[in-house]
Amino acid sequence: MSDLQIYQTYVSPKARSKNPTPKEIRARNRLRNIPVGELKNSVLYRSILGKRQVQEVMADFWRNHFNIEAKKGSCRYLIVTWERDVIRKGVFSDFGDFLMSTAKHPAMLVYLDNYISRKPLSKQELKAVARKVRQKTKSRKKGEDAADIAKQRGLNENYARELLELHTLGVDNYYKQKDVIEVAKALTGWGITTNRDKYVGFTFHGGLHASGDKVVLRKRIREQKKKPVREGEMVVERLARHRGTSEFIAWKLCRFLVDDNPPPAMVRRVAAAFQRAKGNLPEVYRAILHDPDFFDSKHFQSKFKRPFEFLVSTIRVTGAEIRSPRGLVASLTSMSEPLYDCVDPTGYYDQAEAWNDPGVMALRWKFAMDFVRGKIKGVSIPKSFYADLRPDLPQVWKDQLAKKVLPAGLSERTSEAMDRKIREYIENNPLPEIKQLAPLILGMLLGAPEFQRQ
Amino acid sequence: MNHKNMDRRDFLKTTGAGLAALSFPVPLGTLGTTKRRTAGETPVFVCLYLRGGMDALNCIIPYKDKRYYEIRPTISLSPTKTQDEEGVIVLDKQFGMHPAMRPLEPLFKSGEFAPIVCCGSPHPTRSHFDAQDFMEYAAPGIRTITDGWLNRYLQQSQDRHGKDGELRALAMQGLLPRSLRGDYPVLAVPTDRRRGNNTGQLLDLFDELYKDDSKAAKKDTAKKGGKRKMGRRGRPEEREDSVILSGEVTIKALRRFKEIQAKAGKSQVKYPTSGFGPKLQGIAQVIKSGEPMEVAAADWNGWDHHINEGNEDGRIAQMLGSLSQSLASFMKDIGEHRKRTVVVVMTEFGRTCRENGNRGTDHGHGGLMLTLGGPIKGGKVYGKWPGLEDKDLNQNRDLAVTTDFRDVFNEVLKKHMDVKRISKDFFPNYKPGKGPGILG
Repeated sequence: MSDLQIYQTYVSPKARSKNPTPKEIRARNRLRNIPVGELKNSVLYRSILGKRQVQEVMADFWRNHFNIEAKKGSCRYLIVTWERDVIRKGVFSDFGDFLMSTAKHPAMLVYLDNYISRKPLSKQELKAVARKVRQKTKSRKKGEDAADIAKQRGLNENYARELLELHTLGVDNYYKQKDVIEVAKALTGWGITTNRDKYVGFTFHGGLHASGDKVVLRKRIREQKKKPVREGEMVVERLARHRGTSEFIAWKLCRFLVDDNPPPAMVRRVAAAFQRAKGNLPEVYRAILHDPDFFDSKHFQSKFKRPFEFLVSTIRVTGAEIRSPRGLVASLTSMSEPLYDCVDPTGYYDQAEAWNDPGVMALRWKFAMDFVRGKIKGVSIPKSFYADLRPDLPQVWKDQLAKKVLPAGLSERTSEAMDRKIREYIENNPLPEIKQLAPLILGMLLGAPEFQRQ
Repeated sequence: MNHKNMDRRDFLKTTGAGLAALSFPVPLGTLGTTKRRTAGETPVFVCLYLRGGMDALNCIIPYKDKRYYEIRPTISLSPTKTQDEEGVIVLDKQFGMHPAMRPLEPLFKSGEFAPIVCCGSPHPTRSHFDAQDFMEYAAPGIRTITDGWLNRYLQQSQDRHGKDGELRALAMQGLLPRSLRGDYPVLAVPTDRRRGNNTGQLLDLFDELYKDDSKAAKKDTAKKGGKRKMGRRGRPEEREDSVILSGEVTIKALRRFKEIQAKAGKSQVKYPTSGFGPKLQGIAQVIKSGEPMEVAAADWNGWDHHINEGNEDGRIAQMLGSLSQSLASFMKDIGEHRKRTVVVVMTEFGRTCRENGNRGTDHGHGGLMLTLGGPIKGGKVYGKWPGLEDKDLNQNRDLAVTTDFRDVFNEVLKKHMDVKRISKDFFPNYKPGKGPGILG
């Protein structure tokens, strides 16, 4: 479905009524939550069942790099084409094209407020403000202050700042506050149309565009009188090619795929590959996967799984059947990583320090035990998963299950600790049943320290 | 060192939290603090955050100002009781409260509740995440600071109760709020609304898997490069796997928390079942146990009322009602402990003074804080009121800010938490103001 079709299907025409009745509000909310609900389900289905896991893993990375909070305004409708046409398409594209598609997608324009950004007040308008305040307060300084404050009125820096800070160069890397303002000016007029009868999507509003040349990163972007939308495009293109962007993206990708503190030499090599390949992302991924540091055993299992990664991996290793992913969507929320619901434009962090709060582990243990006991709605572990366990040999169940769940093996200490727990159980229940004890063992494996890493 | 401290130290030896606290990269005692106190006397600060930008103007209402009724034709609160409307609860000659806040009226009268109007940030942002970050890091406009202001307090006042990291602070939710995040380990405890809470069983099942008592663990860590967040500067023999450490702290602290819950027993006071209700109930249990907890925090999302905010019985009425009842229950529940407890309810900014076309309001500037507790000089509305005429408004749309939120934080640290000397960089780029005077 296109954005227009989604609007026509899921935006209730009554939404614009000034005084909706409670019944109307409920009906409207039900309707408008459908696209987001289905989208979340599809993200989980694909992440868990997708045959092309490299694509899924990288989609997860970019989903957070170019974060959108689906709850914000009309993002709840626009998010569907965002995931399909921007994120999933972008994963194996050129970074420059990817960046441009994010910049022009209505979801991004809404999420980071660029659609309401307009040219700042003119010099004459500013002088008028200063004069008015000066007369009123009889203080020259106050007049200047007021003009200073008024200077930025209308201009919304939100997207421009995040474009520099989060999407391309990295925080305070190569750019200054005045670059933020200049980028914001170049992007004035980049807005949306949401007319459910005709068109929903990107629109350039010439009347809101700030005139004049813009100076971005010490280079002049000439005013494009005939096609002012080009100015913003030129800024985005320049940023995509910028050396700082290759460094920042390389570092973030290595941090995501290799280690919270990736080796600087590796990051340099990957950044160089990014430059050589002109941002062709498959080439960049290849550079990481072929890098000698990628296989260094010191990075083995060095990453702490985010709740999303933890949850997806529990389902994948157990081959659990999913009748409906809604229970999993809810579990992600209770583990504090609700899908497409990160308020901050940073996206969810993928470093351990953001997730390893004392107390968090208890939520994972709870999920693991609920899951193996069939208490997560809509998912169940098939009986076949336990089929090769022999009823008369409970002492080897742990090793058999561990082989399926943790191919890299258990540490000696975890193995011993689990053996003690299992022995204790068998002492109390001399003839353990597979359906009782095996899920318990599986739950402990999923909650074990080794399973929290990847 | 007195014997009370010894007890705590002994206890410490058995806990991972203590172990972690011993090895922080922050210089000890950079905040000058007074002498240690016994557990039951520890000052407690409860930091409650309303996320989304709560509408200050429909909470503490200038009910005498005609202008308020002009600019909010459909969402204002009636000045007087009528047949079907309850009317504003009068606080003084200028201000009243939303009628849903009735449960707080006795606390205002007894002098344990005081609102501060037009409280907010010097930074003009209307972005939720910026405004929240800036406030929770207490560093408006500065993005390089990523430790919460309360975590900084915990780091820099470690000497205060021995070097005891055990439950000095906790958050009653799944993840820590930013104000508490940082190098000091703070426990996040989600409130379990479901019956038959089986946390105890869970902890029993996993305790041996997350026990750092075997040499194997050290071998393992060496293999993984000994990466860990907590205790970065710990002595080598103290280093272990960060996941195991975190799990161990989780088990120890949650068990301790459950013990405290059991000791405090079931509360006789009824709380609302949503919003802050269960969270404040949990915090009250810890306070009543006499545990030397200094800081507790909880968040409530969803105060961003762009549409259908309503008046007497809209969405905000429901939420303010629940908030007020939760606070009143909490104050009743902690009983005598209110003498050492200060609660501050805050939000990132206020909202537009004029209502918008959807019976709601948009992001504004000047907000509000609600302060409660024994030490609060309540029964009075604090803060300078700038007025509601066009010329009085911030950018001709929002309440102006007349009290910097850091003035309140600063006053809480100095006058309630007994911090004698606050280092210059604790609140970066901040010149301490006079403070609102809520604590005398």
